[in-house]
Amino acid sequence: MEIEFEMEGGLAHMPGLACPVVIAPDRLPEAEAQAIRDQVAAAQFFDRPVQGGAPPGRGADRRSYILTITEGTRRRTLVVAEPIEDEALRCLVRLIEVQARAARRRGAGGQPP
Amino acid sequence: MSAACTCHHRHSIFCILPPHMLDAMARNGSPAQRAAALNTLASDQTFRALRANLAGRPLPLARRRGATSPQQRPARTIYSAGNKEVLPGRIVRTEQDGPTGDEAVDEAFDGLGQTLDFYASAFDRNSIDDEGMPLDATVHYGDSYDNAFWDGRRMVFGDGDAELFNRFTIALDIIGHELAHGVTEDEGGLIYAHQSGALNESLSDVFGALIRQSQPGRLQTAEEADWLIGTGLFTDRVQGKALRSMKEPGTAYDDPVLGKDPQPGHMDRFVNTNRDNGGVHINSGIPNRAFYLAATALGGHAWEKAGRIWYETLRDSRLRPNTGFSRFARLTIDVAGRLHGSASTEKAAVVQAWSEVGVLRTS
Repeated sequence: MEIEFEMEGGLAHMPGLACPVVIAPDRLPEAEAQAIRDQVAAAQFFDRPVQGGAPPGRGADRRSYILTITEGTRRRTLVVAEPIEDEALRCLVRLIEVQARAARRRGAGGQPP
Repeated sequence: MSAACTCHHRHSIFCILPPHMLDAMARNGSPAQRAAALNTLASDQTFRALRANLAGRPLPLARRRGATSPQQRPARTIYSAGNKEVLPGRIVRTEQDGPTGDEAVDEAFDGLGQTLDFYASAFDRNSIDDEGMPLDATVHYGDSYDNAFWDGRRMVFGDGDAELFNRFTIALDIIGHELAHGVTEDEGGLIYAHQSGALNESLSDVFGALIRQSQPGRLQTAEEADWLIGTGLFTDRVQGKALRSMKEPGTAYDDPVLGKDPQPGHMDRFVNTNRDNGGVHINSGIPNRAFYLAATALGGHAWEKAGRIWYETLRDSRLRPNTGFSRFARLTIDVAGRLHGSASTEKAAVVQAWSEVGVLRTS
């Protein structure tokens, strides 16, 4: 499985945070990798329409996420706008966001978590 | 790594393909097709937001009549989401309560009070809707949530991740920024995409900055102010001083993780992108700098002249939801002339400010 994660918008929209991050669960500790796989399944990621959340007509500074997951021959991209009402999808986004943060730190020369 | 595409090319076929076909191309196409389809979908997200804004307009905030008399300060209610992504959460402080000892709760409560006082004293405005609308804010939203937003009814603040960002209530101008989104929305709204969205963002930065400069006991003139937005929000690990600089857009931070501040301060460096709702947090640097230039040229407390001109422009019936930089500039010039005279130094300062950032081109 391979996951590409992008985040954009928000009060603190910044190029380093908006940059796509690729996460390979197979290279993570097994417990973290399994948690991601389980949440991908719980969120029924591959069965969802591409637009994971309608952008709100009102409000400002909300973020949106673009998730692309490849698993075997399956590949799907979701665009998810905050607030993420669907709990399973929200948990998946947050799980991946944690890994993206760690990846950014490593990419910036920081210590791995 | 770049902030946004500066030379955006999109094949015309993607403009007319229905979403399900784009979906299929995003899943099954070649790498080039995937990239193009995803770009289009991201763009579509922007335009759907735009249409949603237009379709719903006018969308004044639901009035809560009889909230206060003009003399009373509107009631503030602070909620805690308990580090979950729930809204509004549970009530943790009202007007009847004293300080709680929870920094985020008390900063939000006090910050809303200072913001309300600013609008009342500077512009004789009674809350977001000018009818005394009670103010709600939710703090402790999400787990290590690195953001603050206006959801159309309330301000929402995350605690930050403590690695890059501190809690988002730490900066008074951020609280003012979010509340100002409510004011802009109430006045008819500027569509939150592309140039009108960048103006929407800029107005929030402008009023957020003015609120910080007008704190009792710490009043600052335009010359004394630092014109930074979000000072204190970064942790010590970040190489940067704030989220944005109205004085020198593009210089607020340059950090290995966050990247370099991408804001332009002149139309020559305007960023064309479909990300970030069309660069609303990027190109806002241009009108931000125009305001800074006008305010410092006029001198004194920035809310008294430049702030008043921008505020009256926001309230002007000629401000359309899709107003771009050029129209907004012309309106501020017209308002400056109306308030101070057609041959006034105030009007001339506003003309000069928009000219310096390249919005007004003189032949």
